[in-house]
Amino acid sequence: MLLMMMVLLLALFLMLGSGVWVAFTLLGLGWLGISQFTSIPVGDVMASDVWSASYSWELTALPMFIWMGEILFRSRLAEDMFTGLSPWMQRIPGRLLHTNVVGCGLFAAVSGSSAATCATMGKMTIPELTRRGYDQHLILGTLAGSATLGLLIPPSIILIVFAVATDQSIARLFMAGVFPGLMLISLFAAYLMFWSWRNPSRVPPADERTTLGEKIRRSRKLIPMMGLIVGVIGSIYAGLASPTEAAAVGVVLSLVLARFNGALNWSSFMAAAMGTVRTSCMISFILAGASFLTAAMGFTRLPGELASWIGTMDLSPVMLLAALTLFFIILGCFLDGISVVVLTTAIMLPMVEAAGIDLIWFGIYLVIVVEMSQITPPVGFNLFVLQGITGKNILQIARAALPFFFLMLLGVVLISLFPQIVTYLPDAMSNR
Amino acid sequence: MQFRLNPIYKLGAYGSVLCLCLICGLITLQVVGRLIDKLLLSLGHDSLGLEIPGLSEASGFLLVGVSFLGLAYTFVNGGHIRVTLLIGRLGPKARAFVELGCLSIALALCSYLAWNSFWLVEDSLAFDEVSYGILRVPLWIPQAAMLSGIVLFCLSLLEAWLDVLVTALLRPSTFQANDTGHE
Repeated sequence: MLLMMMVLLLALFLMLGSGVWVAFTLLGLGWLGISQFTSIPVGDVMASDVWSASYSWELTALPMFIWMGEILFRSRLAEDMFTGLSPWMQRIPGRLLHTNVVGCGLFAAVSGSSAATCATMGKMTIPELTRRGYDQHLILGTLAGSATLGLLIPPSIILIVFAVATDQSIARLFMAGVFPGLMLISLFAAYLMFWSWRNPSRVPPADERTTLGEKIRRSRKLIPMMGLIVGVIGSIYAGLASPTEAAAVGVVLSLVLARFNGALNWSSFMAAAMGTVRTSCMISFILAGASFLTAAMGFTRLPGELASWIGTMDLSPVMLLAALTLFFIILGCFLDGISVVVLTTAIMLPMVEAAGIDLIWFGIYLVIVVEMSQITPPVGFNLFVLQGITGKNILQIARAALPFFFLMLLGVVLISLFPQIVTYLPDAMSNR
Repeated sequence: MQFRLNPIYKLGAYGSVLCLCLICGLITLQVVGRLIDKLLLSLGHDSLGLEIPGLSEASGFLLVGVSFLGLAYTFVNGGHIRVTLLIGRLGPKARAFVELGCLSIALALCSYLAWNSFWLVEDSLAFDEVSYGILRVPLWIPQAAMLSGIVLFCLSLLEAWLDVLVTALLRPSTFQANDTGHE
């Protein structure tokens, strides 16, 4: 067992490190595990597992939500959001920096990706806020940090990946992400207010005061977006539509929305569709590889042994979670979020279950930790996106995002102390 | 690098887009139908029964088309993620050989998968297997879509492999890796 573990770990690091595509690394590991350590015909298992992991009604939500995000990314939503939100933020300490936090939170509620949230909001708010003289460090930090909410606030691509890989309900996971998302938004906003209170000289003055009527008039631009959020998330919560149905309707509504603000034509439609194909092919092939790896690991009985080994160590759940968090943070420095999630579910799930941790809660916990990995160098998607927009050094951006890393760590501590933050809404949904 | 078979890969991607549109359209129709039904019921009329039978099954199979037909297109556009953190620092010569190694592993695994998927389709045909739901779709149809996507992917990997092989053997110092779009 020890030999097998060493061989597989070595193969994992060797393949990932030398740049073998993640999906092929998973397939290769699975092949290695079955062919070298069991007597099961590996080819049959591979084909039938890839096949059965690839057709499902639940998984259909994945390309639909990706598509919705791609369409909105190409619409003028970010501009509308900035116009609609900014008048309300003038009086709060930290002023327009809050548009980054709230804007990202809202965009996260229609998009399932953190990089897309970061790029969409960043394109708009970085020039606007820089022009008004806000602290560059804080603009980048708030953006990098809050854009990670795209992973947590439903619809979320990575939660779909977790749900499919662990056989949990997408709808329940989505609902579980709502309050933790709001909690992180509040933490970020509170930090901004605290910072502005300590450094009043570094916050530029407010734009000219607007009347209440003017504010409300400008906020009308937020209505289509709010409609989309309520329509998609609300119909899932109310049980009117399954996540897949909500996603398909979301695509149609976003197309209508993009049509009305003049951003939809044939070329932008095709660009969005082709972008969707690239992302969803990438993810679903990884999922297929992960499903094969999970099956292979089941045959080798490695995860079970690992679970009982950890069980003999008599760790308290707190200790286990602390160790896992540290492990994921290190892993997340080098791997992207989806790979972290599928590797975890293939190898560590029995261990987590044996420790008596609720899988819905664990999914949200894992996603927050993965969010942290989005802003840790050397590999962090949001850092890459911001580097692309501003041309700044990645370490500089990472330093700006560091306070938000610690705020998310605080968030992890909070949901561990008060798991109801996660479980309340899904429980309320099923008790209705 | 230039992929000679690029038009075919693109065709595959269009196939994916078509499946996407079909899924989205069918599901939307279903939801609209259900809304109309609910409205009619609440107005005291009889329900029209506007349901698309077997929709969840059909979307699942169309999803296979989305996920596999576009694989090769995704590959040639650098859409599949990998860790380039370490190998990005290598000089052109070393990088050419590492790249060749990566592509060899990928090509071997992909061909193996294609070979076994072929037998999967073959079995489904031989035993006339159909799906469990009410549609009773012959399983070889969606499985053939999976197979053709994987074969296309193999082709694109083979093209890249040959290209890198020639460069690595003849003029390794000119090798230029294209990491755009990669992680």
